Amino acid sequence: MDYGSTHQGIVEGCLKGDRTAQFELYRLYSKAMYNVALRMVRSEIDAEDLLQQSFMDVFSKLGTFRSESTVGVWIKRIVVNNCINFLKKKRLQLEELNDHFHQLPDNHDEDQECKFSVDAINKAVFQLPDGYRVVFSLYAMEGYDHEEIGQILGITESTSKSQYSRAKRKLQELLAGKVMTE
Amino acid sequence: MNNLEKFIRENRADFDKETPGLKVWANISKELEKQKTGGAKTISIKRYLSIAAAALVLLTIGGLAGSYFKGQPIPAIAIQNTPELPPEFQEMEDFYRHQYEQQVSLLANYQVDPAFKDDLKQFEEVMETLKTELQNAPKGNEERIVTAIIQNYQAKIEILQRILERIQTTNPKTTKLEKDEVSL
Repeated sequence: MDYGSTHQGIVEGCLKGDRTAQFELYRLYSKAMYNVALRMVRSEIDAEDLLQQSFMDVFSKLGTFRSESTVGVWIKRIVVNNCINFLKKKRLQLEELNDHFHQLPDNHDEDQECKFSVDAINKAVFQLPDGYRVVFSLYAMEGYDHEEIGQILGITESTSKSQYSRAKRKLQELLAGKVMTE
Repeated sequence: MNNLEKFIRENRADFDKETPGLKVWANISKELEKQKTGGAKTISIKRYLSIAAAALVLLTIGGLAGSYFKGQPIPAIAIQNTPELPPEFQEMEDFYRHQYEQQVSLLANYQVDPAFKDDLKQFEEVMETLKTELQNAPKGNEERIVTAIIQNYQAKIEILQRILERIQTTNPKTTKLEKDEVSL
């Protein structure tokens, strides 16, 4: 996915309501955005709904897009926000994110030298509880930093950090087969 | 960064494996079509009047005023077919256009300097530019352009009104009678 490109011509076409340009923008970003949504909400039907809703938002808000960020980054943020709102409506256990355990040891070296696979990681991510999965996806997959995640989720930066390290540990347990159910 | 994070980063593109169904675009396309044709919301005249009221209308009609009635009769000024406004502005457009046309038809009874006609024509040209601009405007700039369109209409209407006033007060005898006016 080319997040670096501005796709200026396409954006301008979309602003004029040119359907071909709108489809081009959708074609460029729909797959990546669908996967972003899918990792966050887990259900294909919900992810498709969110993709549709997000692109409607993209087309109606495109006039507010400023080229300080790339259009890909801008679209992703709309998708992420819609997913978070969706999860909140479904009572995402964000309380789960409230920090109960402060003294979390740093586990940077517990990383086993096991070989990872994309499929195994995807499967394990899907098995994480909502709160962990969202923070893990936003940080490790979507590239947001903890400050941004804090803003997106309405939690503190340090909560995001500790949630992330717990999510990562849980994921590694899943990957090591300790809790694997399938 | 540990090995897991490194692995994800290095293979990031491979994680986006799933493809959304074709119906997603079909739905989006349908929605966009609906917005384009029917469902556009109307914005009340009131709101635009308030914008208009806030806008300062600068008039440069000094040159006009001197010789307004000694020239040729002003032909009914043809309002050209300008590009369509977005539906939400149509209401405002209709309102001003109606006022403007009324003034034009009143003034058609009097003799007016041809220079005045040229000035009005210039206003029309500016109006066309504005409307084209409005059609291509990025969202968020529309209000500025609509304000300019309103100012354009207001300026035209005000010029016409002043000319009518001047004609009627300073040279009552050279004017034809309007049906509502009392003969002097």
